[in-house]
Amino acid sequence: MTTRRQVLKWAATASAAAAGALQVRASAAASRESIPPVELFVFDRRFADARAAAARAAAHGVETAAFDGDLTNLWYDQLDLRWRAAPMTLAGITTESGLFVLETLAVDRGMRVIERTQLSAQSPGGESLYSWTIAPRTKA
Amino acid sequence: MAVLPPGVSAETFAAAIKEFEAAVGKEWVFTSDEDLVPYRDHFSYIKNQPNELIPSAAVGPDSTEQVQALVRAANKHKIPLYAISTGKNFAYGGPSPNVRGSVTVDLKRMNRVLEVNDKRYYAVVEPGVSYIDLYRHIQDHNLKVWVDTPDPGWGSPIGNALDHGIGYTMGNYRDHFGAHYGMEVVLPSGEIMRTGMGALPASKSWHEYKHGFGPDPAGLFGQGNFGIVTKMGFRLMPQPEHWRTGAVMVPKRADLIPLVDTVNYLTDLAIIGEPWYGNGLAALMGNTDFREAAMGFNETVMDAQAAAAKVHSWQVELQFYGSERTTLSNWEYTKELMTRAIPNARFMDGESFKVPLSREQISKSTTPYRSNMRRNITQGVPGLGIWWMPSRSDANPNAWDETHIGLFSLIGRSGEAIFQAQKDFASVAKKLGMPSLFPNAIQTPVNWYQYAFIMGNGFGLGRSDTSPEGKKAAAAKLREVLAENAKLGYGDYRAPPMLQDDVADQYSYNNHVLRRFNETLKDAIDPNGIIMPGRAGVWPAAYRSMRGSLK
Repeated sequence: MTTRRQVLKWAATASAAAAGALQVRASAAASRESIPPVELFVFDRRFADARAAAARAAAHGVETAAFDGDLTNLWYDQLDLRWRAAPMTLAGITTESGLFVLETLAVDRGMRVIERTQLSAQSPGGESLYSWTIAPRTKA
Repeated sequence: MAVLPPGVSAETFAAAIKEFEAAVGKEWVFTSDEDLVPYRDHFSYIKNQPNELIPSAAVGPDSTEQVQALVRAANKHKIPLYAISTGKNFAYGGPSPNVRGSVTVDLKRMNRVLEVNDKRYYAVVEPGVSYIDLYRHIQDHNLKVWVDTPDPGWGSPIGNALDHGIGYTMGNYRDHFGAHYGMEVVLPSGEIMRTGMGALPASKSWHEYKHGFGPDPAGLFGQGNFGIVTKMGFRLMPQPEHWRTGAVMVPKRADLIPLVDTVNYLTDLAIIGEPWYGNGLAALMGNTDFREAAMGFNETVMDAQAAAAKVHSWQVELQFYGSERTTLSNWEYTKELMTRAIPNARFMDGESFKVPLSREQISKSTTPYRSNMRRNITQGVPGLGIWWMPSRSDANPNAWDETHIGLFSLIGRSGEAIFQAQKDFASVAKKLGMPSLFPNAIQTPVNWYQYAFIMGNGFGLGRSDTSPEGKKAAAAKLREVLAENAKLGYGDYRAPPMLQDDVADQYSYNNHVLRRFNETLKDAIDPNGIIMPGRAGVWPAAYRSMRGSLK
């Protein structure tokens, strides 16, 4: 069973592969909650770090889903349908804009970002990559 | 972070919250900082400042009856409400209200597709239905209609139409408010009103004749604050059998005038969909001589250098919807008309696909579309790809910080108007000491609205300084641009809340009679001023002293 800690480990490994430091900004809320196992690892396949992390996730038996900057197809084919059924825990490595889209959509479906970590690796255009975890929301 | 509505005590607010909870259920009333994060404008250039436009609470009704109950409770306690459909209009303030401390009425739970008719070509939806939801409904039911979608498609047809949003197919569908036919509104009194034929209780043509009989107040609800719209009908485009594109390229700068004239003719005959204007000159902007000529509007030098570089001055990409044969015939007719008007025009065949396109066809990256974003929107497929564009890059390092930084001004629909606007916007930029190369003599407008062009200007502010002081200075500069543009006859068509007073202030004909008219109505219809006070610069008496306070 894959846990949030494992996902953080994959992200750290990916970042280390890029010879960068990891800046962890996990939320306090995340640390005190029990997070369901990660069901899906979403990654922006344009970036080597994201691909490497996805490969590690897959090696741990986690389903992976790739996109190429534009989340439209992934939304129609998978996320919208699965999130309509039930909120889920997912993790991934994307650009900030990719995470923004996912976070915005997730909030509407009873989920939220419980951890986001800026990786030192950047896209060729200069945008930072983030590893993150989105999980079902627990009402305070 | 907790705030209260202006002039409302903690006790009164608590009493109002209890009534809101009774109306919609306790679990759909949100007051904690964490719960209210989604209702902030994360691109605001007053984010985290003492005057940030944040709500005091949010409520999520599930029905028109619940909206009525909320409005009545708000009236009782004089609580300002700010209604959002999906709240994702991020370029124009997202879910943030005009008045700090308003209670956000989040209509996302009202997400029912009430009807899609693919024989009479209309849909009726609730405000929480997104373009994506409506598209999926159409696909799931194998209906032969298209949604004219903005980008991204996570917004709602109602919210987008009410903010005068636009799309990308045929002209009569691109104007989303213009394409609405009939609405249901909860008035500030809590009463339900229906416009057009909906006012006739037994009407069978609510979404086919929008005017009804007598004065039609529907326009008051577009960028308005006269009620909360809970239902709307929209015209839908019949799914065509075929889609074809073609590009027209013209050699000289002055050729833009007959090019636009011809495109207008084709547009208004409903032969083409949205035209995409461009030019072949961008690559020459790296050449110092050409750039100086373009900045100085030196047509002779620009034409000579374009000819030497073997690039065209202007181009327009056209879309044809119909059958394979009619689209080909219309493309051939276009070439004939263009050749008559511009003998040296050149043509390039573009795409030609049977509709509906497959996923692979939409995702194909060939000329003239290098990403599937444009294919999606030309096919009525709501996408999310636009968020790829504002990503940070070498060319756009502070994209996230300047989402609101920039204006979209209306200009006339002619080549002459484009040339004049280029010069006018450039002169304003120069006068105000703005550093950007943009606007200049190669800038093109967009033809989102069928009968007008919109041209961007005022961009590039705030990039060098993203501190709170820098953002404040950028906003102040934008206000200067707005004022200078207005002197030259240019006004904006949309604005985020913090600029709405400034834009509205420019629509000042006859001593602001339009604003006085709207506010007279506002005070009569909404005496406590609870429905979205300040929206689009319309302030009810109770809040009128707040006009222009967001500086």
